Amino acid sequence: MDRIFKTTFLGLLGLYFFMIVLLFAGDVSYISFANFKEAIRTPEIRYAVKLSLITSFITAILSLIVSIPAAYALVRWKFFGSNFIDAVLDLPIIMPPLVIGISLLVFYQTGFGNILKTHGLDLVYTIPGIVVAQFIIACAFCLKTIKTAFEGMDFRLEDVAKTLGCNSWQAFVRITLPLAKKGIVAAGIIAWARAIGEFGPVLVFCGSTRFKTEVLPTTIFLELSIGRIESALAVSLLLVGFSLISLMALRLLVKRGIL
Amino acid sequence: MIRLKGLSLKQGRFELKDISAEIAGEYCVVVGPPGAGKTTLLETICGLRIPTAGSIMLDKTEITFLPPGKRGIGYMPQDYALFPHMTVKDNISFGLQYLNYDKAGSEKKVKEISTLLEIDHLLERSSKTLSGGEAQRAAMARALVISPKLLLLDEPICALDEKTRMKMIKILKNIQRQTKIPFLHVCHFYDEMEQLSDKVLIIWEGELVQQGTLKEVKKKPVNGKIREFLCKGTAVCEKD
Repeated sequence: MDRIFKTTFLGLLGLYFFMIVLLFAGDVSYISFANFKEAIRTPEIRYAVKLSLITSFITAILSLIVSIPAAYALVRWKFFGSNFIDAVLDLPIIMPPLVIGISLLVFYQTGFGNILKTHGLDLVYTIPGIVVAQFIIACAFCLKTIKTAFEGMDFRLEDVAKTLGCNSWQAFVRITLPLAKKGIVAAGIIAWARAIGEFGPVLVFCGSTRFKTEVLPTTIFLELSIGRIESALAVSLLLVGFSLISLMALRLLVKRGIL
Repeated sequence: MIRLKGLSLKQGRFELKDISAEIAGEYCVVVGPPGAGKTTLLETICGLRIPTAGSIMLDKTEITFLPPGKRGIGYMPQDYALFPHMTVKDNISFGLQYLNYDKAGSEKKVKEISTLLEIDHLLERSSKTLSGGEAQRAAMARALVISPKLLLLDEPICALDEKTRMKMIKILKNIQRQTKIPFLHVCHFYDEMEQLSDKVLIIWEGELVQQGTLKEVKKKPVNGKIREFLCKGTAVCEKD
């Protein structure tokens, strides 16, 4: 009985694992190494790589800066409307990402958007706009993950720290943050992964102008739309490679207790 | 000495009502059924809850609205609440950092208190790996090392096995005699109250219904429920 139980669970794990591996193995077999090298050496793709890495990194950091206190507030204090706020913050997770892009574009046609424009904060078709489009979605995922980490926490530990001389900030930094570390690292990875792969809102809100607002997912779309499948595949594999290396490196750092 | 005067707190449906008591350098045991307000009373005294009325004087200082860390009160909550990401030594020395102890001074204090509580061999251990009795003593050391003027203990030995509980009763009494600071100890068990208490506070539905020595409250219990508890000599929680 135990054997069937174990085999079933491991079997399903293996099935999903091999589905993903086979998928990318197909990509690798389709493209030669020479073609891959040639594709990623083109200046427009190199620009897109650089822009993707920079914007996704900034988005991940901003998401953490906002999500940590926001998640803490939602978990620690029950206040009027907290359930409604929580539900609204989940919207970017369940909505099609394209809706965020359209909403951002429409927002800049409204009164408040126009005020921002006149104060030099016109982000449509700009690089900061890419960060904003990525942030709105990535931050929701980040917040959800950190919230789960905080929900499993015993806040009496903070209370004890306060009786030993800490103020609220010190108790948070010395007790709560280290205990939520794994959740926070996971949230950062998720935010970064969402940001680097974000396509819909970036394309709608910032367009895909070569050497200006072109990021890796939009490059794949552009290359595919003009029939350069090998080039699109090369960029896709590059994205897979970045993601895999980053995920493995972070897991290793957490495992060794460095993060 | 701690002096509570008309201490009241309203939180949702629960109320602490007009609690007045004076505890000098004695071992005071707080008893009452679950939900009576014993933990709330301790949390209000140590500053984790703000009273809606009344005052708290510790020695000659009013501490009613001081932040918890500025009151000079040691607090040991239920289940000890040791910081799981720290060693026993880091747990114990945590409060000393906010009292501006240097490294040498802090180590000396930690050594003294851990020797007193017989946990000096556990200092480098992660607090996650301690047994119930060890965790209890580590939490006790953490609360005592800051040289508090009052020690609040919330069911400190409730979860221990009988043998360890008996040993801890002796240690607690001994430490109180040595430090001469007031101890406020919440408990459920009659034997704890009998062996430890110089004074007893009985809390019932948020009210301090009776106080005095165990002999006094046993002699003239204010109502039937308290008489039943004191005479039967069993845990309050089993009866309500």
